[in-house]
Amino acid sequence: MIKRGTRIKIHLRILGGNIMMPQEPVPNNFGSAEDLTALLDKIGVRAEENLDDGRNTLREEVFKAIRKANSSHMEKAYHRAIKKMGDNIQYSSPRHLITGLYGIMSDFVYSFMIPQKEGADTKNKFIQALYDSAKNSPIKDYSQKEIE
Amino acid sequence: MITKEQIRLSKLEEYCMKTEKTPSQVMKSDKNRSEMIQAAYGSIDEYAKFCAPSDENSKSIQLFEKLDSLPIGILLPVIIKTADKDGRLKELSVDLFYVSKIIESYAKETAKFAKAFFHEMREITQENLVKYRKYE
Repeated sequence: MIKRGTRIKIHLRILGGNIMMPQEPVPNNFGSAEDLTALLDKIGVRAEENLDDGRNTLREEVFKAIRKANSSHMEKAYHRAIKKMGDNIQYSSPRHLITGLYGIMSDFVYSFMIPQKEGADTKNKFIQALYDSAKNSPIKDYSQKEIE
Repeated sequence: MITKEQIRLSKLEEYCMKTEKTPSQVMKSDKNRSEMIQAAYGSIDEYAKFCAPSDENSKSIQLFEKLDSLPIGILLPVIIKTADKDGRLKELSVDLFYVSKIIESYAKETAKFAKAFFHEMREITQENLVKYRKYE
């Protein structure tokens, strides 16, 4: 007796296809939101997380693009300022001073550009990590005993 | 407090979501930037008002102007002498006037450079506005 799955494969071969059909029939009822969530769970993705990721990626790209534009803007100003200064600089090697100043200024400007959400995420992750470590720590029991 | 950069970030994000253009596409092309500015601020003139030098910027220029005019070379030897109570610098025979002159020179150069830098930043912003107006 030929098994059901084998019979299907044979039929497909006859039809010219070489498709491997699954042994168990897959339920084809992913119409509702719950079913979609179940499907996403199966492949390890959550619907809301997926949407958030898209938004965060865009935000990161926006941040990078503005940072790049500002950096080129500042670089242009920096080179022009140096050109303008020319002979007004008395010392033979004040470049390190100017470069240092430029570094400090660019850091100062970029620090304003860090999106607040990014900062909040890092903070939340840090707090969560602290909380988790405190939760699992044996020190907690020890300190509780001490208090008792 | 929301900074100007954060406002710019949110405007660009909104525009990218509406038009499905990537942020780097928008920032690289003057035409796209001009479109984005007009969509976000209404007109280039409104954006020019937004870009106008803030009080903080002019305050920092004033600060550097003060630093440039400050007689550091005269003041510094007196300050160092007062601070050097043990007279260690005197023991090492450090020429305070010479050291003060070097510090003064560096401070003045920094002030001059910073003023020139801020001025150039403003100039570039104005140049960019002229570019954006071409596509208005």
